[in-house]
Amino acid sequence: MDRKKTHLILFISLILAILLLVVINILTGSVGISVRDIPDILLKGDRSSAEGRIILDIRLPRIIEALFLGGALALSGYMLQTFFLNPIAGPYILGISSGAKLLVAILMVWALKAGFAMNSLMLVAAAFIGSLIATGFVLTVSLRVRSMSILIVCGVMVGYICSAVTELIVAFADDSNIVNLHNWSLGTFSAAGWNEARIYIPIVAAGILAALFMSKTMEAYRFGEEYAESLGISIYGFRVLLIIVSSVLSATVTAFAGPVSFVGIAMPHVAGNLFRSEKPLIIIPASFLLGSAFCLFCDLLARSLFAPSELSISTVTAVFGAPIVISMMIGRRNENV
Amino acid sequence: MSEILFKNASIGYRGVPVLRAVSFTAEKGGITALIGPNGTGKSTVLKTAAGLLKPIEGRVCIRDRSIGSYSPKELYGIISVMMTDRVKTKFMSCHDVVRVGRYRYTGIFGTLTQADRRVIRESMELIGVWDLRDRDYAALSDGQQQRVLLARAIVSEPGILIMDEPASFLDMGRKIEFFDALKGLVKEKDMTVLISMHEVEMVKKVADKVICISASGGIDAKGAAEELINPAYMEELFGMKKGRYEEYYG
Repeated sequence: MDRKKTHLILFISLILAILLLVVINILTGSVGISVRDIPDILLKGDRSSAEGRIILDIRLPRIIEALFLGGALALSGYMLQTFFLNPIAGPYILGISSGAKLLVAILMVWALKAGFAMNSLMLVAAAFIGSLIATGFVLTVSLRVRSMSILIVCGVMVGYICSAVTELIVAFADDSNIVNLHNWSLGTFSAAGWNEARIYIPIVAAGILAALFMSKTMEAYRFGEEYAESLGISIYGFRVLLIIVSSVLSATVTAFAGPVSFVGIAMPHVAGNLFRSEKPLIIIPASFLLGSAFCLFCDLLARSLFAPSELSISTVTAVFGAPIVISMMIGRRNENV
Repeated sequence: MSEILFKNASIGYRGVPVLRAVSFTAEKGGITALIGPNGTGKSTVLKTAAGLLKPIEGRVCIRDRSIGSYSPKELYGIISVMMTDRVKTKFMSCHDVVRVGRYRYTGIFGTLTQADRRVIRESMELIGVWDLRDRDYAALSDGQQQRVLLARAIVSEPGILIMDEPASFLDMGRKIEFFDALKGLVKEKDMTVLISMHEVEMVKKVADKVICISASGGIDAKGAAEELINPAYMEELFGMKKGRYEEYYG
């Protein structure tokens, strides 16, 4: 069958799956809500009933967050993979998310002590600086070692160090708000509301646009640096741009949802295999949608499996994501990972 | 006017010369071949001519203009390269691989116009890989892949084609087909080709001009293939004992 047709069918199925997950997410929770009330609540924005408030102020913001930040994470991972010309790369596994987490935690605790109100943009900025520092470290290591597996081990180590320091800071910061901070530092989609959505939606949208405009060069770059250069591409500028867009996306996720594991590394791989394509113009939207669907699904499990207590989102994403990454590595056993 | 000119150029990596005092020209509508033992710097010459390495000293000109004065866009509007690095793909058809060669013509999202499609088809037909267009590139033999990469190199309609051992993976029959296609291309499009090759026995039939780089470092000889490709000189250039060339290639 025609490739274009197959891709269209796959995109439509993915969007339908996301819609279905959204509906299930709206309906699932400790308070049962009848399907019939939903259209009314959603369309009229009716907050007069308890159900209305639960849907509009608790469940829906959480769904929107998983949708946008899950997609952003997958896209961020795909851009890192393009940068390293290696499919085993992602913001979490390379320690970039943890770097962002550490800087955000420092800023949060400092703000709490100083009695200073943090706004979302400051969080994103802190996370961005944190991820750039971690990325800088990873890049310095990558200049010295040629092997991707050593690079990943270094990334995981950086992740451990940053997480340990974050925990130390959180443990010593004595405040009632620390409970929230603790949840966030493990990863959760429950922390952000509509006000935060006004910040992250435009950032993520800009990230997708930037990625799409880079898609043609990303495709050429897949054939190697030298070849891309011989097409007249400025390699240095392109690589800097890749890292910046990828870092902005993963920093935004970390600022609002904390570190979320395995989405960035696994989803682009699933997208490639599902669409049987390497064309960035296809894989960018496909990774994004898969990241959204995956995070909606994992968040559903995280909050409903042991309700009323919640699992951290990374616990669930790891259960599904880690086997995908392991199978990728086995699939590449003959190559230099 | 020469298409490519090296004048007393020192070339190498990160300021460390591999070859010194390199001087030669490559003329329009001809095939200029670089031959010599492994590791003498043939690839370095090719990369410098392609603008991928900056000359350390001396002059390197493309169409009588210093190569450094070109913007990447201008330069790679003229030059197309086919280097030895292998391309690892997973889900790319041969058409996808060749399509990327149209980079500088396609729109911001890489969409193909009718003209792009026509040139891709013509290029692939010329090299004889049009039948492979929907095949998975990764599943092809090395030889087929090299032919697809040649199609990719000419799809940008270059004036100068720079190639590093493009036929090394081809069998005898495919090598002849490959060089036939290359010669046809040069004639039809009036292209300039700078090529390194190991097929010394074929140089006479392929190249109009030969540049020999010796193991002692530097250009040893240059001139018409008929004059240079002779047993005695080949034995000297490649460091073989007397009579060995005749024994194997004669």
